Amino acid sequence: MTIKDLIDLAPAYALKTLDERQDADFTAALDRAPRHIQALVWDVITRTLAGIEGTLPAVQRALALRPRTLGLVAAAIAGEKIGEPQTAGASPIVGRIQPPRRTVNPLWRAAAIGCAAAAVLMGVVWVQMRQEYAALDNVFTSNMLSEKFQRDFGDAFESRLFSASTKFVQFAAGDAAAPGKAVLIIGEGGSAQLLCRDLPKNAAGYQLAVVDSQGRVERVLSTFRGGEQRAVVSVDGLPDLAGARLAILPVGEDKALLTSTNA
Amino acid sequence: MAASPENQAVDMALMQGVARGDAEAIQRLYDRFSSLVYRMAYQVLPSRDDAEDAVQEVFVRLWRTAGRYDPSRAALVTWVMLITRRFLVDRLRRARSALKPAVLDEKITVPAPEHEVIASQDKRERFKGLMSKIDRLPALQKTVVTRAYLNGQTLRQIGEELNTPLGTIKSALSRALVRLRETETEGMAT
Repeated sequence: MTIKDLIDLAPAYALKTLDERQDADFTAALDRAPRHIQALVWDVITRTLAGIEGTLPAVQRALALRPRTLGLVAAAIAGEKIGEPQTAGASPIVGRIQPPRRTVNPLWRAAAIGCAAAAVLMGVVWVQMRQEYAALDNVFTSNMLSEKFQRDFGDAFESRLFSASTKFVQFAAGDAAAPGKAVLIIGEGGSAQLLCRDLPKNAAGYQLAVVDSQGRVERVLSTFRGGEQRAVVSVDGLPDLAGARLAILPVGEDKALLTSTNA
Repeated sequence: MAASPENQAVDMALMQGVARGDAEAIQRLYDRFSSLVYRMAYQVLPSRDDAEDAVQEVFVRLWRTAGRYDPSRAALVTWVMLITRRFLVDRLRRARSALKPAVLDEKITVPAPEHEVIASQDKRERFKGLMSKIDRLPALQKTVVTRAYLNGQTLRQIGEELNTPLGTIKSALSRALVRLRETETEGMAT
């Protein structure tokens, strides 16, 4: 590519109207060009882009976009730092997934779910201590951890996970040595996410159910696959679970693998 | 066109902070450029929701590319606009692979359903300023700049579709951009 080509194609490069190969050739040629030629080309690029600035519509972005954007960037940075992939595929998602909300970026949504699953995987679930959960004295809490969540995952993650209206139900095995841990995060409108890790393989899957004081199933809330190292299960239309005892049982069995430690 | 040495130092420090993932630097970058990025996205994408999605992803891309920013080449605003434009065109092209593009220079002959009428009103709002300028261009320049700028088509694609040599398309785009800039200057002068 000649110097003339570089200068001639600079407006098309600025608007990304070159095809992929031409675009790559232009970039490589620009990098190789002498400094004073680079300056000329960048001058054309600058003038081209400055020209379109005057044609932009006079619209205002929503204020809520700021925390969402900063949260997404923070999640991307956190994901890179902990080596977690930023896609939903990183965390096997079982069961019905809620339809995406247009106001939340899909990348952010995937990152948030991935980070939440990662948190359970690490065995650390920061639970907001509120009056109704005062009995949760066995849950690990610390200011340091909450600050780490905020730093790594951003305000948007914090507002989602630590909203005052969000309820948390912690599950534990009767036998401390038994595998499997889970937490149910219940948001507004009865929609919830069940985060599980290390459930043993079970071909028939698992049930999230309301059980009575004897451990008998009263009502099945959701059925999902198990056997993954970790899983995030979306559950919609939950009834009011105040005072209810919940359990996770293998389908076809009546003995709970995990039971709620709070209600 | 590079910024003054003082501004270069400020912009370099800012982008170094962004590259490190410094939250305060990223907030400053957002506060300085989010309006520009949003307006660019809103102009070419189908809806405000799409524009908001794009803003979020552009800022992730700005973080990822921050380490490559060289203030001696271009001002930070140029860099941000370049990254934004490239992201938007990628997105337009991905969408076009699934959907027929809304080609602005085509006449709509079928009555549009209500939601499409609303969408076209929204489109008019977005394109009002730009189209008033584009309408003053000669026919070929108008077609090329519309397809290249608003639809994200490559010059080669436009040339093939219009059965016109690539050089002619390239010149039409360059001349159109110059005329748009001149129109802008005239508008400011009056």
